[in-house]
Amino acid sequence: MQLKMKGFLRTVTIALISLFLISVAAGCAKTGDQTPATKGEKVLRLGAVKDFKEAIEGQNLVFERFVGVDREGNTVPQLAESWDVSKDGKIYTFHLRKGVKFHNGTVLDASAAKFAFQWIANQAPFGRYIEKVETPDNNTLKVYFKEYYAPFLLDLASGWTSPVICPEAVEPVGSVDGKLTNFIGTGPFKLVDYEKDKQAVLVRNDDYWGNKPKVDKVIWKTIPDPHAQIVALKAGEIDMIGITEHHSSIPYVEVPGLRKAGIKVEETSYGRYQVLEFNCQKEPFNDKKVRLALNLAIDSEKMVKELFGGLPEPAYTITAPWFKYGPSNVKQKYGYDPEKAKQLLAEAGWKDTDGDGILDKNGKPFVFELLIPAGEANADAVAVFVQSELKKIGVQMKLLTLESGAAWDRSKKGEYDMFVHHSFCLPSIPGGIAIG
Amino acid sequence: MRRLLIQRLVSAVFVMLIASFLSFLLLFYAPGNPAETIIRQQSGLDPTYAEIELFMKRHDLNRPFLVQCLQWLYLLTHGKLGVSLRTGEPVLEEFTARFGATFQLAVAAMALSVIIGLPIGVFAATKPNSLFDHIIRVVSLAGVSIPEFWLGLMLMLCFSLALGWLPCFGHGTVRHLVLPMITLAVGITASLMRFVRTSMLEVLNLDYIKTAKAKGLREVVIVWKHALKNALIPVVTILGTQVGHLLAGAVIVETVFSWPGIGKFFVDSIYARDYPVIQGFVLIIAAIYVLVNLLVDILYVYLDPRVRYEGRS
Repeated sequence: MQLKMKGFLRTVTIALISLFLISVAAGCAKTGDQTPATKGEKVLRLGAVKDFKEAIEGQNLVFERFVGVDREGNTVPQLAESWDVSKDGKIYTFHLRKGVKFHNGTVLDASAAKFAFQWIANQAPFGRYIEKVETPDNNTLKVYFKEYYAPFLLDLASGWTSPVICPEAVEPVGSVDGKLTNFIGTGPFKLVDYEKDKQAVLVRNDDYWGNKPKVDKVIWKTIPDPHAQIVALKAGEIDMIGITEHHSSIPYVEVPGLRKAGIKVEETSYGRYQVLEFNCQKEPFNDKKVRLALNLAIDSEKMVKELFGGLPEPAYTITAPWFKYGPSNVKQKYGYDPEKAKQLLAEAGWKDTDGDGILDKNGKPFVFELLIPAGEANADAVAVFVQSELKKIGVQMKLLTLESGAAWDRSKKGEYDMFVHHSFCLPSIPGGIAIG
Repeated sequence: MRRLLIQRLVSAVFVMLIASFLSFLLLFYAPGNPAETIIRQQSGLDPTYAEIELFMKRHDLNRPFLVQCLQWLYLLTHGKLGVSLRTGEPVLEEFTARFGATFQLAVAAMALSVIIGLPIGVFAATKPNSLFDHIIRVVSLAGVSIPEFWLGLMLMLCFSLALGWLPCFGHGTVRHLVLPMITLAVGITASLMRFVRTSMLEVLNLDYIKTAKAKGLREVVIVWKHALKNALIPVVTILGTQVGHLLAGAVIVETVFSWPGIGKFFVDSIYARDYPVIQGFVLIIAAIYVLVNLLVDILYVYLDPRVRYEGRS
């Protein structure tokens, strides 16, 4: 944890660009005349880039967690109605929600919960700190830790590591290190049919403990190409796209066209961002003045407006402002001030002595490289914009696009000047809340 | 013939093993790490060191390269290809579940190109430098040059969105097959036309054709019976090598048309550094390649009686 924190601070952020958003486009006007095919049944057809079982958004329709998180990052009850934590933080007592059933009818009692918890502990990072799990009564789960582990509840709220599954969901049945083969959860939808890379059919779980879904059926259709998704949406073959991903694949430039075609586009910012990261350990960005100058030289407002049609917002902090531990009171922005940027660079010793239009210091020109993982959405447009902005103050940015795995490898090793990527956790700090 | 078969099968085993060994070697030493990539892809979260370590340990990924190779070979001798790191399913199942769709698409596209490309190529050869020949030259040049993803989207816009005749994604019925088949077939048809034309022109200038003409045989019989059979030999060779092109093209076509085949899955596995899938798929694809080329060699015997693979007995 400590190590990770340090790694993070080392690379201070510049020009936070876009709060990522999901554009949900629903063929609302059309849904009315498409449903009759299945006698009054309300069917929602989702277009998704990923296969149902590979997408966390799909799994979250079927599975729930013991603990959930809200938008601000507070842990909220889900399958555990409440919990107590001992004074030393090492014993957690979960009071399970009563009357919850898995899709196959199995009751979520203490023993089923214990199984699910142990199965989760086998794959979640907190597993190694667990001492034992007890079930004092039929609705209580008591977890003993060997040592204090702070992000436990957030880990438990992660859809990725911590779905509450039924003992019959794994192969071999009831084995805590079994393989998840049947999607049997407690969630609002039951999985009834699944074809790999093709589609998944989900029906409403009428025994759901929470607010029951309004649609009878959800069909998850795998359409890997975003442009093909848009065609399918316009052709009325699917009803909704975008919501099936945590990193919307719909190109921003397509949004006006979708609106024009009479498709409803809704956007929700959920606090993700794309970021250009300085490598603060290397020349020239080990100088605070240089970093500040580059921030001042980039007109983020203009970039967001011109490149992305004003859909995302320019971000000025590395956490969403509404995040519970986020700096909600930050009002100060870098702003756009190329003159001041030049002045700061001059103070840092960067001057154009040879008159070639590029600043230099000790005979070395101000040329650096932006590392781009291939496939990083919008990165090319952003890179070109930033490149032209920096050229105005006499800084030359070169672009290096590498296959994603190779790019991340370099970034981990610190072999870069500047790196572009988007945030993962909400906010992108270790132990930040997972996406839901 | 039997000796050829045995020879080929023995060399096939080596080809397969070496191909999958090389693919593993290259990816193992390429930057990037399966644990990190897979966790990031599936959860959308930046994995912690603890998570990476746990993943590596659970999948035996932190063992030395040679140990992992031997482990894989050991599994192979037991008829197993291991388990995908990404999906947790056996590699063989991942392959068989998807190969049907790819095979269907490939065969359909190949059949369509032969049906269209062969006669057009022959016609073009019978009237070299005619208007028809020139048009075909331009058309085939365009056909080879059109990128598949663009063509696919254009067909989709036209036939699915504007006309509403065909579905733009999915798999199952013949209607679903039409657009991906055409998209994949265009490039192959175009190059096939050129090959047939060239090969046919050569044959048409041979002495035996002149003899046939002198004998007073009808043009149709000369071209379609006597000339075509000999002209087909190089064409069959080309078709054999096009199998690789089909698989490569399938990656793009399968993605654009949401076709549930092996192409996209394989590419995603490479990005994810899913070693067992890569090794297993390379092994099987190499086997298919060898098999197809063997079939081509056998076909020669039927097309050209002069071809013999062993002394007359």
